[in-house]
Amino acid sequence: MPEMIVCFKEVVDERELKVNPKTQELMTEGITRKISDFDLNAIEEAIRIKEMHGGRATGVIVGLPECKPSIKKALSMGLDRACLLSDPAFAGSDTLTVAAILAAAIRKLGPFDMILCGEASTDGFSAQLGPSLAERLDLPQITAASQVTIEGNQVVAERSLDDGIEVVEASFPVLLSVTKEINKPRLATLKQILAASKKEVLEWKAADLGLSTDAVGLQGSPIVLKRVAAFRMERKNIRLEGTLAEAAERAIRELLREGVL
Amino acid sequence: MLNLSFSEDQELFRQMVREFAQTELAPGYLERAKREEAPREEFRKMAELGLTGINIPEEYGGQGADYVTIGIAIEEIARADINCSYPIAVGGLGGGAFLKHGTPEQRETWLPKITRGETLLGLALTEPGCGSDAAAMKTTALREGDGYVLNGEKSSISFVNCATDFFLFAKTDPKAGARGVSCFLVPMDAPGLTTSIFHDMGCKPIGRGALALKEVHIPASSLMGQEGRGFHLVMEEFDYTKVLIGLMCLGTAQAALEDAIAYAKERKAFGKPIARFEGVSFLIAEHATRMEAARLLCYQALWLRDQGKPHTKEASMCKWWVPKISAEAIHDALLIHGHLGYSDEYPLEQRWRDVLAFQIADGTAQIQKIIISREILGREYLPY
Repeated sequence: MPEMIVCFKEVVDERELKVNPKTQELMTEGITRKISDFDLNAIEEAIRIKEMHGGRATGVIVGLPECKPSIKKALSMGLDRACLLSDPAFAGSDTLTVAAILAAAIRKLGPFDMILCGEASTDGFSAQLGPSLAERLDLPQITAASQVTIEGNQVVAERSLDDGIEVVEASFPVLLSVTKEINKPRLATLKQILAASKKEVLEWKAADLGLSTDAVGLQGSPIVLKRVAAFRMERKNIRLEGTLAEAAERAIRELLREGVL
Repeated sequence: MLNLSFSEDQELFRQMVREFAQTELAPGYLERAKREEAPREEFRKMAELGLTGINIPEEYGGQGADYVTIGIAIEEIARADINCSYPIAVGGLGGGAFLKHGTPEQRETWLPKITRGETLLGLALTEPGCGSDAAAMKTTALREGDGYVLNGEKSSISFVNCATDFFLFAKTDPKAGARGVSCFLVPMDAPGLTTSIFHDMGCKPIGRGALALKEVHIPASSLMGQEGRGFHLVMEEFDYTKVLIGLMCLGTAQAALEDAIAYAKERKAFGKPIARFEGVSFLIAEHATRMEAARLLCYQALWLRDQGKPHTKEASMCKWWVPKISAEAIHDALLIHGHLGYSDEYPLEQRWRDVLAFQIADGTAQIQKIIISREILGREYLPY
């Protein structure tokens, strides 16, 4: 009966994102927040494993206190309990630092067999959290898992690669990051939503995890996010005059000048 | 203190139902709406999500939802496909009737089957010559041996294309007016029962049609509640389904208005989006205002029912007014789309056709206004 940890994150719903036409910056105010899509797959996979093999699945999230509806959603789907890691000091943490916060919380939660993460988040899409966390906890890691089977204390996983499928196995404890293809996340029924209210939600701050506030947030993060802006695509409106041969020659010249060819 | 917010659980439930409806139902709405086949696969998925037995207690496998929460489910499903919201309303009506009037055996037998989606109940009340005027009902259920024999005709009955069973109303005492009406559970495959489908302008998947009953023998255990209490039973549940009909129409109108808003922002005339012209934006503002008021009225009526307070008047207000303002909103949403809105490749005309049905179904605006007047002025001012 595996003891599982599922890391998930709250992101803005990208379908509602708008771009400020003057600054090209993303306008995120007032946008619905949701659990990152791939993390929903990780939650679903943990629940499926639990349904087949028993065990317990704990969701862990670094976020603002306002992310409680997302926690409730994860619990409604079937996680047994959740752990919210929330501290003003965490603001501005990069992926490496979030991995450090998660690692501290997972150590505090006690022994585990598996950690499941989404392959990447639907906002930053760095796909670095799983690998960083595995390194922090000194675990074997299976990334891009598109199918997972448990056999005793072994995990057999199919990895979706660009040029094929790789089948790998690892012993507990192990970290897996899962792809979107691994499953279809379930929707909770009303009964499950009501039952989720009774499930345990732990809330820990930096001090509870033994983390110095200097080691987290902006101060503790080697990567500083300067600006997020939408890519601007504009037509150059160059009109190629002359004969076909002349126009083709000029097109080649322009493309060479732009560094395209 | 007045609190007009939904609970955190209700908000999460709305989010879940919306996700389901927009993913599983909305994409196929238009295609399904043109066929006279019940969307059985979609109904099955709704049963899996607990929507068909939403008000049935957990002990029978249901979700045990309060009425406001049922309203949320109906509104969200209707935003995607109004025809798919119908089993929630009928299942809810059936569930409520069994809980209040069914025997323990009937509850044990029927409620789990409704929650699993195995039983789809239809409601057979209206006849060719009478609807809300139950005293004029002609169908009879006469006692014979250890059962009843049904004879007569039912008309304008939904789910004739897919119901497994009907709550069928017939007179056990033909001379007794509305007090002679009793309610029976009649299986669709009962010998002597034949069906025919109407070819309607909308709501085709709901399969409106007629039932002909010729010497249909049913056991005495098919009686729901007491003899002569059938009309009372259905009126009690109509106070709830009338509100749900309002929310079905409102959900459909909301989808149309949102389409119109999106289109008005995109479509340009004279170099600017048509949303910047007051002829368009004020239409949107006016319908949004009416719909907001309608939504409050519907949820107020459901809240009253949850509190066990009288809500007959409010339910009738929902029934006559909300389908009307919904049809008007869809009409204008169609016009905002210009020539595109007139095409049956867009869902607007279909939504309008569908919603129109509910200005008639479960009692016309006229009978609702009689009920409201009765509640306000008193029985002595009834026209009959």
